[in-house]
Amino acid sequence: MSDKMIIIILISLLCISSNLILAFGDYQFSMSGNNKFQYLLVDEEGENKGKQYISDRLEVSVLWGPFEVGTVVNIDYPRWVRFIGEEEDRAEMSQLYLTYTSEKLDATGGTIIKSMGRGMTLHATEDLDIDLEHYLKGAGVSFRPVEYLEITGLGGKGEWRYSGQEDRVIAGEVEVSPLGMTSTSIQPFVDFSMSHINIPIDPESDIVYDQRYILLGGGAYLPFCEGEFYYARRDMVKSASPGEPKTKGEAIYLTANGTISRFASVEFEYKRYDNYCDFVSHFITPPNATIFGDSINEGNNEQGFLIGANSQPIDGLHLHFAYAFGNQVKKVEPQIKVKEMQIDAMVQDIIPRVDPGGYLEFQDEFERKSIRVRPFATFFMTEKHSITGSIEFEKRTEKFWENRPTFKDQILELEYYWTGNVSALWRFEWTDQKRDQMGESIRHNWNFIEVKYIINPRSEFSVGYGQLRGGKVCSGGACFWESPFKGLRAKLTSVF
Amino acid sequence: MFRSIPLLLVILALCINVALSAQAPDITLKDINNKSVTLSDLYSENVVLIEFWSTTCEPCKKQLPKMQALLDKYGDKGLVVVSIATDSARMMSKVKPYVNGNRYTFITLHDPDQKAWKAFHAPAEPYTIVVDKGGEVAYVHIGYNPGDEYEMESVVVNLLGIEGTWKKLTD
Repeated sequence: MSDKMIIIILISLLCISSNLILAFGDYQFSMSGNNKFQYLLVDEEGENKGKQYISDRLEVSVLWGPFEVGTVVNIDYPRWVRFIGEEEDRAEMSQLYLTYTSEKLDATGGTIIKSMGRGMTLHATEDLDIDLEHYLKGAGVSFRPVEYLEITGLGGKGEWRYSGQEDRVIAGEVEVSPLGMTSTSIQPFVDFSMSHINIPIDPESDIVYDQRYILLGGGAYLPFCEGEFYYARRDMVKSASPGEPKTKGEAIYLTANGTISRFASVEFEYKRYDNYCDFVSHFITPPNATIFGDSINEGNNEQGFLIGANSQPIDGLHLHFAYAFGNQVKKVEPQIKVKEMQIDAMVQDIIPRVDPGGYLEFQDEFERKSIRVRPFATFFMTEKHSITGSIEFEKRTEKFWENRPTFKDQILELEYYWTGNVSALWRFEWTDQKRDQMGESIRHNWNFIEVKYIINPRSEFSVGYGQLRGGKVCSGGACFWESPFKGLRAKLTSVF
Repeated sequence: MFRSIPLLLVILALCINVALSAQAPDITLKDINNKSVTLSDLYSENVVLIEFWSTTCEPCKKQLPKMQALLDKYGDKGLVVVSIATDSARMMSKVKPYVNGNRYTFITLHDPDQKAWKAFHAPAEPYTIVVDKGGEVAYVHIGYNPGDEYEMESVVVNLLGIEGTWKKLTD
């Protein structure tokens, strides 16, 4: 794309940087989105000097009574993809939809984002935090004939990013909340859902995975506690290889939460997945993530539990604790076990001028162990000027690497903030890791400083100098995944 | 291209000051007690402060106590605080224990299918919107840094039409 074209696009988009909504009679036209424009003024290695990073998300919709037609366009030249650690160009109309919304009926044609059965039967989503899309393209209807009953049905194709497959999905769900129309604090519910997912591994030769999921769940919400229980089954109707056994699987998932006299809450989760999911369909079915995150073995054969507690024992002191344990249902070698623990504390408005806090995380999963500590504190110079500092220590051991090395990583951050005007971030990251997983030598420290001018609540301009390792960087009160960077850059961000 | 940047900045500065009113979207979501809540029911007589957050968002967790403080102070004067948890269906069971354990009394809604996120065109978490009594979006703010709550409070106070300063928030 030429420079001139880029400028035209940017100016066109920036000139409407105020969530444009225009009404023409019964029609309402809405346009919104965000732009990020980054220009590499100086590159340490001299290869990318003058490189431009353009990222635009444009959402356009037209409302006409109960109808809405809309689209989402994403333009990235280039974007950094966290999962593959590389940059890629993207210019696509990622969503296109027509919806009808009324008191009793919602209907959508086009792009569908929908979960069923707590994500165990269907999980079509867009995760903006990590910029990952798993949309369904098809048609869906939700019908609420009475307040306590909702029936949903949909069908379409799933184009899961990075999977290269075009799954065919049919799914339905019935949710009944018999006391939903009353003001009673006791709210029982029943959830029944099922899906049929056909995954063409090789459509030319009719090699497919063909699976059915069925789930029954229920629970009750009471004033000081609640519980939910789900039981699900999977049948593989057709396997990818003629000789492959058509396995059946089942899953149990339950949660129970309670509040102790407005003093603290406790939570418990248990899950057991026995052949419930396999590698090719884990985007749209389990793992049903808890503290495990993406979990081991794609949730295929594992069980685990989590216990946790949250408390604010005195005003301004926020505490959180969680411990999780998981292992495989069926014994395979090597036996995989997972243990995780988190402790968080945050203090606000108790100590004059200072708000301290921090967290401790411990993880022991298969051949990887890590412990991470991060204390932080905000010092208030005046009501509008503050400095937040944090230092993170991480020690990790990755046994599957040669010589079973242990690494130590540290991140020091200092951020000055002048409310609504300016922020300045200094980030220093250090590691004693000598080589990456490919055996190539890597940098040992990254030093980065960024000054941000907040033009208004929707727009900011920043200049950054130094190096970024690439990863989640929190600056100006919001966290984004940043691509690796070395040099001097200017960045303009606008939300409209 | 380099010479174009100052020009671009000037154009940006001019363009982004064009303020157009926007009617806040009307969405129905379930709260953490499984009851349906329709946002337009709240807009009609109140100033509504909405925060998008999730249990994995650290800046959000720092902002939530400030939202509770605003509710404690201005709740009886017509302010309604709504937090919309964007945790996915696989994570939403963590929302209620977090809210109850921290003694938050504002309305908390689940948005696992991103209905509200999409309707409000939220770009990142935390995302704060203040809706006036006419149902129009009066203020938006992306991210949270200590001190941002004072700016939000001044907006709320103006919309409620009452006297107030940020200092009273921590009194």
